[in-house]
Amino acid sequence: MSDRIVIIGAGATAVHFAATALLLGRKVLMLDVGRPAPAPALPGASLNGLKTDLDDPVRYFLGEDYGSLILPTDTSEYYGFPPSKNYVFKPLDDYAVKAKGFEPLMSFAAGGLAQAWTAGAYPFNEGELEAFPFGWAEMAPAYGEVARRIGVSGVTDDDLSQFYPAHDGLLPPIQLDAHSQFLLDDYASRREKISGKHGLYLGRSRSASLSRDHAGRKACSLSGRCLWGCPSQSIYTPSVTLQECLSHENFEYRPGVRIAHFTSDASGRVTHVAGSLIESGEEISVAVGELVLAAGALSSTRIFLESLLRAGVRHEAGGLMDNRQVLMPFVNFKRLGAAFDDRSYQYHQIAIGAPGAHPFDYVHGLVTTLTTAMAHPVAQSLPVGMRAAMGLFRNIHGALGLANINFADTRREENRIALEIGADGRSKAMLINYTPDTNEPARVKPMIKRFRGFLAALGCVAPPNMTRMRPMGASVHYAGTVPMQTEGGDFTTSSDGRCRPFKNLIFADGSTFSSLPAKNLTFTLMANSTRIARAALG
Amino acid sequence: MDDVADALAAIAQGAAIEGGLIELGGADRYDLRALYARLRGAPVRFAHLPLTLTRHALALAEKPLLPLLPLTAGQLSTFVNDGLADPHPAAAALLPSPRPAPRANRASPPSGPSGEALDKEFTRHARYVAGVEPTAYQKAKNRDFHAKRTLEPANALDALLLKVSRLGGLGLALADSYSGLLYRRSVVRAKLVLALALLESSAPSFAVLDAPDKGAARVFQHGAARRDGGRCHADRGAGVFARACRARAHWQA
Repeated sequence: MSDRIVIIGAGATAVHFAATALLLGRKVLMLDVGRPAPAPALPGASLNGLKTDLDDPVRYFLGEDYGSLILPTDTSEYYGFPPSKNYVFKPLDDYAVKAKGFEPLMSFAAGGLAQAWTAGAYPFNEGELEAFPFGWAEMAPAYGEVARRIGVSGVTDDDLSQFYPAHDGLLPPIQLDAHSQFLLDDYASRREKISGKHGLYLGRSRSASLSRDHAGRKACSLSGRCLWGCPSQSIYTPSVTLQECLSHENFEYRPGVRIAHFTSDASGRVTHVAGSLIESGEEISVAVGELVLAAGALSSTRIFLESLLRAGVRHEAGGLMDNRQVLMPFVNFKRLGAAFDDRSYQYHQIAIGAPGAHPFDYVHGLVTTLTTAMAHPVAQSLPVGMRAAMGLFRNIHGALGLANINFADTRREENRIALEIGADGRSKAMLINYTPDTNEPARVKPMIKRFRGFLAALGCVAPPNMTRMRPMGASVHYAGTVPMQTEGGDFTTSSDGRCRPFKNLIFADGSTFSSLPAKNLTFTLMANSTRIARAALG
Repeated sequence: MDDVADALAAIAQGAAIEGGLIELGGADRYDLRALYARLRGAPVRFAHLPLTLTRHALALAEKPLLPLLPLTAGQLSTFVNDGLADPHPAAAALLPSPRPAPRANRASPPSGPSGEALDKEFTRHARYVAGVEPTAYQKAKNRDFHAKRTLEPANALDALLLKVSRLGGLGLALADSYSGLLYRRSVVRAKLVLALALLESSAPSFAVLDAPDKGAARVFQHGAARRDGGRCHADRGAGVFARACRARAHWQA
């Protein structure tokens, strides 16, 4: 029997489980589809430098086939992804998904979906962990360990610090862009009045981006290229940790593999994983000592259900969760006509916190100032001719912002992942069904009003007709299908991620979450995976 | 309908369909305008109504006037969603090659402009939307786009707007304004968005598109004055906002 740990996936949870297992002296084999990232173009250039110096800048910004160009005739929900990040979302052939009430995004990239994240790194507090079978005391060391590994920048002394517990390894914050600084200053001058009236708070984001050199990576150079992929890896992505693991003698990474299921013996011990090579289609089988499913909540659940099906068990995984998101564009009237600096950090640097009756009811708003966003998707959304729209856009560009409001979700059994079974008894597709909580409008609508009022108090107008509720699935914060429970039944996990009734099957990704607070979960995914690795292997 | 009847017969005779819902579609796809024109067998003129406004108006009128209304807001919504058949393996087996409609009834494919005409059109659009002359590189990318993606009028109104826009100055402004207010998915607007995307993605035009107007900066100065507790930076501008700012300072004094 092999003592080797086999990890499926190479995303945020997989690489941190692997890094921790290697620290504990274990041998790790990572199996992954693993589409590689393209090399960054002109790494030393600024955003506008790319427009000037690249041989074919239109290809870089809009894509070879103009796939990132959004035209009025397009109906896509998503803002056009930069061509440099297409590899993150490129689908896999024969990976059929049928979803109802849910628009899933999946990644088969080396590094997973977090290769395209916006680096928000928010620890859950004691109240937000209430549904989990552990608390802040168990998570705090893991948050610190991950923060030291990836570099998290932020502050601990502003109005939002009451919602973000302090952890080790926090770096100073990144230099604010002019608009974010303006909003913070304006808020600071009248904070008691504004917060008192609306019950909302403004402060700095926590970001997995470097304000100073850290662990061999350079501090943010303010190149303005965040959206198109940080050329210096100042913004953390899981591929950074994957590279570190690759330098370890006990680590083996095998990309180009799609794992479909595992097999177990009569005692409940997983013995092999089986799948195929992407290029040739050749079927493979790999012996495992411990199996770690860390391919993301949807893919891990699919592998799990497929394995059960092949063992003669038809199971449906309930409790799927995702954060409802509301996008609220706004114009800061006090900055109309202001120029913007393209050499600034592009992702959210400030956030709005809205506490509720219980800590879990907290609503989290990420504020991005759209500094170097492309003009054409925004200009065409204005209800005027394109010439007028572009004239308007040029003059409001430095005043534009976007609040991305995130709402918590809870496990409800009716939100399920299942397999569509063909006549031959084999699975044909993954079925996802999601129905929002009937109480959702009562939670969301008043909060939208509060956010709009809060922004208005800061001199910002958020036109109601431009505020948009995103479909479920759009936040890509999937969780909850194999939850951690202290005394759960079969197909639940213990607090160390071990899946009942199997003896050596560990879930390390969002599948295990018992609830889903509003704060972006990625940092907690990494920390929880690290905690699980230490608890299960230590 | 013949091939649909054949498919139903195959199912009745026990073809494996494994339950579930199977959607059958034909070889052709039409939007409502093209479908209506084909049913009538002649070109049709359409009057466009703003969807959102009409839907809200219908929704308001439904309660008191439901029996009298020709259609409801819900029925109107069905026009927004397509009626295309979702791919299904059983459909592929039952209808391996759906038969197209007779050629005689099909609309002739639109013919695109030549490369030179595309350059002229793009230059006109670049001047109009950003006040810049496009570079040879940008013109080449515009041609490249049209070689790779289709950008043709979807109906008679769309074609008319494109024709008007090609009249030059006033025509382009009229077509653009109409599109912005009442026909956001027109091909004229799409071409202007394309021009904007190409201009903002490359040098030297991106710098022009990034810069705010001087007049708008005066609006900002007015805001700055407010933030400074009402003090006015009156020496900074001569525009309407600066004058208003000075007037307010005078009044406050």
